[in-house]
Amino acid sequence: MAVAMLDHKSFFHAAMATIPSSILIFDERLSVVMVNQNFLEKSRGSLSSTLGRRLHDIFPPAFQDTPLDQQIREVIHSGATLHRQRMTYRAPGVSLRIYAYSICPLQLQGGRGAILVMDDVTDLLQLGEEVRRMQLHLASIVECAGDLIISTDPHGAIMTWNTTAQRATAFLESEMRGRRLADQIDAPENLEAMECFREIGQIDDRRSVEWPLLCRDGRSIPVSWRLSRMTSSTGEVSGVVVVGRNLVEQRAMEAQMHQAEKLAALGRVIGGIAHEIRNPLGVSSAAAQLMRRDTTPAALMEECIEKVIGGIDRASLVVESLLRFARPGPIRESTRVNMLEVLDNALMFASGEMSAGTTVEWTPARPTRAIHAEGVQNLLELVMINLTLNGFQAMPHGGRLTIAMSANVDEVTVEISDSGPGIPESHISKVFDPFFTTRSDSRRLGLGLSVSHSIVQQHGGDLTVRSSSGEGATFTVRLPRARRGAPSRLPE
Amino acid sequence: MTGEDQVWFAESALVVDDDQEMCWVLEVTLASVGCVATVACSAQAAIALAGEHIFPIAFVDARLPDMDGLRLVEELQALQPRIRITVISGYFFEDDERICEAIQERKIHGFLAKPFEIDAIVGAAGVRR
Repeated sequence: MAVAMLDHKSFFHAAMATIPSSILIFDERLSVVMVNQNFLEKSRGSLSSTLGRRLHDIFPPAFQDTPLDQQIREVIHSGATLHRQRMTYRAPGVSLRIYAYSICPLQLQGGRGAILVMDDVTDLLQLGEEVRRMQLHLASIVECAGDLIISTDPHGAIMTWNTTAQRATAFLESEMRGRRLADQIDAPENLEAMECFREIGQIDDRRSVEWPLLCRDGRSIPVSWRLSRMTSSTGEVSGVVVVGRNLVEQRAMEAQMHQAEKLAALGRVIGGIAHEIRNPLGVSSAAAQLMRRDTTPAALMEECIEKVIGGIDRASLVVESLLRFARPGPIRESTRVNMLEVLDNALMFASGEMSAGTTVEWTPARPTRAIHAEGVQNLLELVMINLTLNGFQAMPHGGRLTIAMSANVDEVTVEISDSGPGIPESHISKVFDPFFTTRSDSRRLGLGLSVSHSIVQQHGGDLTVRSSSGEGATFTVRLPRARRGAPSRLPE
Repeated sequence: MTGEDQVWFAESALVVDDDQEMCWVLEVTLASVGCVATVACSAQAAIALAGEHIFPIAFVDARLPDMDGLRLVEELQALQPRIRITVISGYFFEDDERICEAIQERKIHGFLAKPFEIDAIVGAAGVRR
C-alpha cells in the first residue's frame, strides 16, 4: 500500500494559513522573516510592508509597553520556550484587547530565530469572566443568604454547608463535608431526620420541620427546616437541598414580647397597689375633712385624729414595701427574712389579680411567731408574688388560695395551692421552663415560674409543683432557715 | 346644709365595703346628717340585708371580695328598683369606661373615687321631696 509522504513545505504553508492565530517568525535582529495571513488581516498590513521590518515597526505603539522584544531576545538566546503569556492592548478609542502568546525558539537557515504565536482571547476571556461572575453570583446567593443552606447527597451526607450554617454552629464546611446531616441534629429529633433521609422519596418540600441543630459548644439551636429533592436532568434524585431558618432571634423576639406581657402584668399589680393606697388615703382625707367641720363633736375629733394617722401609716407601709421591693438592693448579702411579712406583702401586691369570689386561707392557721428564712428579701418577695399571682390567675372565676407555712430546724417550707383546673401531666415538667405558658392571655407571666425557680435554687432551696387535673396545683418552696440569733452576713 | 328648706336626707343607707375604716368614714359622715348606715363587708351580706330592709340609698365599693361591685349594683336594683346607688372605688376613675356606661344606663346614681370629699357623700345622701 502506497503511503503518501508529507511535503514539509506545503504542510508549513497550510498550517500557517489555517491556524486562527497570528504567527510571526523573527530572526536574531528581531526582523520579520515570516508572517501569516491572519496577522496581516489583523494588522491591516501587507506581506511586503511587513517582511524584513523590525518588531517595533509592525506593532502599534500601544504594544510597545509590553516586554515582547525583550522576551523574544531571551528565547532566542536561551533556547527555552516561553509558554502562554498574556498582554493587553489598550489603544485610544478602541476597547481593550487581550492577547495570549507563546514564543518558541527556532533554527533558521543562517542563524537562530523565534516563532511568535498570538491569539486574541478577549472574547474568550470575557465569556469565561461572565461564567465566573455567574458562578460567583450563585455562590454568593448561597453564602450571603440569612438562612442556613445545606446540600446533601441522596444518602444525607453533607456536600455543602454555607456561611450562615458555619456562623450558627461554629462548624466549618470543611469538617462537615461528608458527615451525615442527621448526626448534626440533636436528640431526639435526629431519629426523625435519619428516617427522613432513609426515605427521600417521601420528602415533602411544602412542609417544614423543626429540628435542633448541634453546635460546636455542644448546645443546639432551634432551626426550622425545609427539605427539597435535587433531581438531575434524567429525573434521578441527585441530592437534597436543606434550607433552615435559625429561630434563635425569633425566640429572642418572643422574649421581648413576653417582656411586654410582663409589663402588662406589672400594670395590673400596680392597679392592686393603687387600691391599697387609695383606701387609707380616702380614710385619712375624710377624717381630716370631718375635723374641719365645726359640728363634729369633741369625742369624734379624737377618733378622727386616730383615723388620719392610721390611714397615713397604712399608706406609708404600702409605699415602703413597694419601694423595698422595687429597689435593686444587694443580691449577694442575705439576711434573716421574715417569711410571714414576705407573704403578706406578696398577697397585697398580687391582690389586683384576685378575681371576685377568691378567698385566701392559711391552713394550718397563720403562724403567730415570725418564721425567718436565710435569703434576699426582695428576691423572695418576687418568688412569692409570682406564686400568688400564678395561683390567682389559675382561678379567673374565683376559688381558694391556700397557704401553708412551716419550719423545722433547717428549712422553711411554704406551700401555695390554688383550686383552679390543675396542670395536665404533659405540662407539669415544663412549667418551670422559660416562656412556658398555656395562656395566650397577655396577663400571663411567661417567666414568673422559671425566674422563681432559679431564685429559689440560688438560695440553696428548691421549688416543686404537684398537681392533678381538676384538683388545682400546689407549689412548694423550701428555703434554708435563718439561724436563730445569728444575724447573718449583713455588713452592718 | 342640714336644715335648708328643700334638702332632706335619706334616713337610712346601705354601706358595702370590705375596708372597715372606709365603712367608719361613711357611717360617721352619714350620721352627721341623720342618716343611719347599715354596714355590709361583702356582697353576700349586702344582698341578705337588702332582702330584709328597704334602703333608699346605697354606697357600694367597686371591688368586693366575693363579687364585682357593679354586679352587686344589678342585684341590689333587682331587689329594690328605687334604690339610688353611689359606687365608690380606689380602682376606677370617673372617666372609666365601665363607670361612664353604668351612669349612662342609670344603673348607678353617682361615682366617687377614693379619696373623696365628704360633702359628696352628704350630697349623695340628699333627696328631693
